[in-house]
Amino acid sequence: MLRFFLLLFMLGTFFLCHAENTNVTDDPLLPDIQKIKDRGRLVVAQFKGERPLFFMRISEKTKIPDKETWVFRLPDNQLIGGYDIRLAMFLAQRLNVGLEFKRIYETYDDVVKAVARGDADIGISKLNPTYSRLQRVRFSRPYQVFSQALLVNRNYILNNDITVETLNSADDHAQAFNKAEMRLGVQANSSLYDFAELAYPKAHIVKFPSTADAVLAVKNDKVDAVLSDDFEFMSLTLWDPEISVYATVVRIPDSQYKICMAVPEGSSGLLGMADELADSIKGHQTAAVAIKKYGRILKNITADIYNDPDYKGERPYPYSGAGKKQRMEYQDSLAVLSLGAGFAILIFAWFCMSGRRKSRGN
Amino acid sequence: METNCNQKKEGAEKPSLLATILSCYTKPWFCLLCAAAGVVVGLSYKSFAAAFEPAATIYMTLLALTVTPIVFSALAAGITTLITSGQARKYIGRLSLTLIFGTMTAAFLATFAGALAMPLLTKYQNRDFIGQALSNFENSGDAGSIEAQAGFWDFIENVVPSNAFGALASDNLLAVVFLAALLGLAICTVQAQRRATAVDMIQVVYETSLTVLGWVLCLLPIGLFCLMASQTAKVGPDALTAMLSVIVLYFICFAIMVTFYVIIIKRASGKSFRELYEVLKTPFTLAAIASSDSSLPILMEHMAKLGYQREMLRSVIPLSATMNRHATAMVFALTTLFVANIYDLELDFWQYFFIALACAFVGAFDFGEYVTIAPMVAYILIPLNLSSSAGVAIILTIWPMISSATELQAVMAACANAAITGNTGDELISENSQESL
Repeated sequence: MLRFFLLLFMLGTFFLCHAENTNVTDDPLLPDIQKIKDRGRLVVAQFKGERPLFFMRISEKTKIPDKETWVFRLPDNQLIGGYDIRLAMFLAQRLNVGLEFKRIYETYDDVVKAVARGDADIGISKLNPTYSRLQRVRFSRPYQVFSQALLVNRNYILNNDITVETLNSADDHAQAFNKAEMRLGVQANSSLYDFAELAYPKAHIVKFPSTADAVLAVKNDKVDAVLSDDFEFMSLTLWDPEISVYATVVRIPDSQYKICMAVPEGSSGLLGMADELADSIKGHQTAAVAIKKYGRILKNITADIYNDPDYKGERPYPYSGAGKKQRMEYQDSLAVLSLGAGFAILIFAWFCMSGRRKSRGN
Repeated sequence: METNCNQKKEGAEKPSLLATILSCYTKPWFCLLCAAAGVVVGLSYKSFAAAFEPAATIYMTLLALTVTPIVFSALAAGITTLITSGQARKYIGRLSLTLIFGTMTAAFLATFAGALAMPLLTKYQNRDFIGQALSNFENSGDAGSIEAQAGFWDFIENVVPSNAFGALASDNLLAVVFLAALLGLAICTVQAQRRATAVDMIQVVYETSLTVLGWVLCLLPIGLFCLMASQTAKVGPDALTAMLSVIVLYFICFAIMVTFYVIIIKRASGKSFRELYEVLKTPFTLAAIASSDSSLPILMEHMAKLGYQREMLRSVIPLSATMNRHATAMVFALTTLFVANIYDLELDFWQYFFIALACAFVGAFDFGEYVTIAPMVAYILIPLNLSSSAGVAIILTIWPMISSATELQAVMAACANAAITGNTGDELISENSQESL
C-alpha cells in the first residue's frame, strides 16, 4: 500500500513539473518574428550601391562619433554605415538576433521583389513607396521625409527666363519645367521614374543607370535636369562643389519624398516594430538640416574612402578633385585694343578737364 | 585722426607723457597699427578674433549713424546756396562731365585690364570653391530677391522713396540723395528770409552731426582693431586663392586710378604734392581704414583749406560719393569677365563694350553696403546669358578683402571730381584754413 502511494506521489510530482515547464516554454510570438528568431539572424535586403548618409562604405581610419551604433562590418571585412544600417542594427538588437545584409540587388525594384519573395525579412534601402511597389510589399511609416527636387542646368534657366524663387506652387513649377523641349534625366527602375512620368508628361524623359550618370549628363549639357530628392543633390555638392557652377537645385513645391522600410505580406510583427522605430526616430528633418548636421562627417567619409588605395568599390559620383586648369584664348584682339584705346581717350579727356582755367577777371 | 579729442594749444607748456601718449592715440599711423594688429590676431587666433564681431558691428553702426544726416544736410544746404547765389550754373556742366568721364574711365580700364590679363592670370581656377560659394549663396535664400530686383524699373523704384522719413531711416543713400536734392531745389522757391532760416537749421543739423562723428572717431583705433580682427577671421585663405585673379587685377587698376586721381587733383588745384599730402592725408587715411561715409565730412572741410567753396564742396562731394562709384564699376567689370571665363563664354567686340558701358552706368549708381551693391551685377550678367548668382556670390566673397581700397577710391574720386568741378577760373583763396574738425 505504501509503495502504491509513493508511486502515485512521484507520478503526480512529475506531471505537475512538466505542466509548469510547458507554461514557461509556451511563449507565443508572431510567426514572422518566430521565424527570424529560429533562424537566429535578421536578413536585410539592400541596393548594392551606396547612398550618402543612408548606407555607404566607410574607411577604417575615418573618425566618426558613436561608430559602434551605426557602422557594421560585412563578411568581406568592409565597413558600411549610415542611417539605414543603424536602423537594421537596432532592429536586430531588439530581436536579439544576428544581422545579415544582402547587398546584391541591382535596382531598388529588385530589393522590393526580393522582400516580396521572402528572400529577405525586411528591405531597408532608402526605399520610396510607389503604387507598383505597394502591390508587392507592406511599407512602414516614413522614417525620413525629404523634398523632391530637380538639378537644373543653368543654361536652361537662363534660356527660359526662369526665376527660381518665384516658383512657389506646383503649377508655377510645371509651367516652367513641363515642356516638350525639356530633357529630364531619371534613374531607371526607381520610384522617381514613375513620378517623372506623372509630373512632367510633356518632357522628354531619359533613363540612366544611376543618378550619378544623370548628373554627369547635366554637367555635359546632355540633359537639362535630373530628378531626385533634395538631400541627394545637396550631398553631391559636398564632394563635387563644382557642380553648382553648372547646375542649381530647384525644389518641387508641395512634394514629398518619403523613405520607408519594406516587409513582405504577413510580417505584421516586423511591420509593427518598423513603424514604432520610424515614429521614435528624431528624424523628419529637412535636407538642409541633415546636411548641416552630418555634412562634415559625410565629406570626411567620402574623402577617406576615395583616397584609400585599397578601395575597389563603385563610387556613387565621380569626385572631380580640387579644380582644373582653365585657359581662355583670345578671340577678339581688336576688341581688347579698342578697349585700351577707349580708356586712353577717356583718361586724356578727364586729364584735360583738370587743367587750371585762366581767371576771367572782373 | 586729429579730432576734437586732442587739440594743441599754442604757447602751451611741454606736454606730459600721458598727453603725448594720448596725442599718438588719434594719429593715422597708430590707427593703421591697430588695424594691422587686428589682421594679425584675425589670422592667428580665429575663434578669439570672431568674438570681436559684435564690437566691430556696433562701431560701424555708430559711424553709419551720422552719415545720413550729414549727407542730407550738406547736400540740401549746398544745393540751395549754390542755386540762390547763382553759382550753380558754373558747376553743373563741369560736374556732369567729370562724373561721366570718371566712371567710364574706371569701367574701361577694368574691362581692358580684365580682357588683357585674365587669361594669363587664370592658370588655376578653383571651381570647387566657386561652386561652394554659389551653393552657399543660393541656399541662404537671398538669391530670389536678387533675381526679382534685376529690372530697370526696380532700379528707379529704389531711387525714388515712397516715404521721405522712411528714406531717411533706411540704408538707401541713393534715396537720401534724391530727397536732399529735391528738398534743396524746393527751398529755393521759398521767400528769402525764411529760406535763410531753413538753410541755417539744416546747417545746424550738419554741424551737430559732425560733432557726433568727431566723438565717435575718438574710438577709431579700438573700433578698427575689432573690425579687422573679426573680418580677417571670417575670410579664409581659400577665398583669396580662388579669386586671386579678380583681386590682383582690381588692385592693379586701383593703383592706376589712384595715380590719375593724384595727378588730376594736383593739376586742378595747382598745389604741390606736399601741400596736398598735408591737407588730404587725414580724410584719405580715414577712408581706407574706416569707411568712405565717415570721411566725407572731413574731406569737405579739408578741401576747403585748398580754397574751394564750401557750398560747392557740400554739393559735389556727397553727390560724387553716391553717384560716381569707380570701384563698383571696376569690380563689376572684372567679375563679369571672371564669370565669362568660368563658363567659357567667348566675348566679342560688342559684348566687351557692353560690359564697359553697362558697368559704368550700373556701377556708378550703387551705394551702400556691398551686400546691397552686389545684386546690381545682374544687370550686366543676365543680358550676356551668364548666371547672376555666380557674379553675386563672387562679389560677396571678394568685397571684404578689397573694401579698404574701394572706400579709399570712392573718397579720392570724390576729391578729384570736386577739384575739377571747382576749377572754374576763380582764384582759390585759402579761406578758413585754420579750421579743423
